[in-house]
Amino acid sequence: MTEKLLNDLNNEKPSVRLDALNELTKNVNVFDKSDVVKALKPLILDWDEDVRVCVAKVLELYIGS
Amino acid sequence: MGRIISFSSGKGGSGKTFSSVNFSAELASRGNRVLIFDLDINCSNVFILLHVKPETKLQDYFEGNIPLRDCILKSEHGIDVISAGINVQRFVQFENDYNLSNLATDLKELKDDYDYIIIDYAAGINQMVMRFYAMSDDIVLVANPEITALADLYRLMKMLYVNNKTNKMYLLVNKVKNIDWAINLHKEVKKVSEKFSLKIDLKLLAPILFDDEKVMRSVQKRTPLIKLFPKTPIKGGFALAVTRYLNEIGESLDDKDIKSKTFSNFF
Repeated sequence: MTEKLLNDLNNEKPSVRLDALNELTKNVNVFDKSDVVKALKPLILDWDEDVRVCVAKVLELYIGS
Repeated sequence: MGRIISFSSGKGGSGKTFSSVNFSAELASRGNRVLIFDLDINCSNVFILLHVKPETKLQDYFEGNIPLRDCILKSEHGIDVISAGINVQRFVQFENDYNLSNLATDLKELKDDYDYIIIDYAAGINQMVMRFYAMSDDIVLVANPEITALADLYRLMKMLYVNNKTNKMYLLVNKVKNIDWAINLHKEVKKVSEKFSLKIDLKLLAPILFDDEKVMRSVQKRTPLIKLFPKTPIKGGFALAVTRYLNEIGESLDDKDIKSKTFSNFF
């Protein structure tokens, strides 16, 4: 996972966080699963519900695949 | 008809009142009518956190001069409050059974006016307030990830289970540094319960992160933290807790995204 992507996941704008999550969805076979899960865990408590829903879907993808 | 939710903790300092106030604020932000009944007779402080005048009319109520409905105080945060205040100890210490029995009956009648009535108790548990737990639809336990929390939580669960035969409870783990702390505490409590054959279905609602500074500022401003700091993980924690709770009681049946919203595959 790139540093930019990691920064984007923690960006204050929900739209940037959502874009980063979409990027993770597209690269499910590329990134290290444990790194992604570790980065996503804090976002389970994201204040934005759309982000939380997206996090759940990406987590499922990485934990389940 | 509304639901009565009891908020309880095994020991003081767990953030039970903080949790009940913010849980209520999250429910209210979704359009629900919410009443908090502060039953912490000796240390009532919900009115401080919600910026409500510390007047209590419960004394008049106990003396038979006014109905319980007239004791309701309106807060500026969209949550109504009945505060035990500081002058009612004698009414619940003497003749307590009669007074508390009437209070419980009258509180139940307010279910018609609210979607949720939250009862905030003093830490621990005693027989005097058991009738309030008995009439509750749901019980939310608030715990900290401290070394003594497990034992206190287990004792509380056992007492509630033995007295009410309640087999479903909810857990809110407060003051955690990360999600795993809450998940681990939940697992440990379940393990101990199973070891001692306590057949309780304990659902983890959500972890609430530790942020002492924001908690202090919310108390100083007398505003629920999730309203004062709406873009924080603590807001996310309470939002997740309420979503998971509403799903458990069957309030999300038409929501196609509910699996993701509740992280049902993760928790």
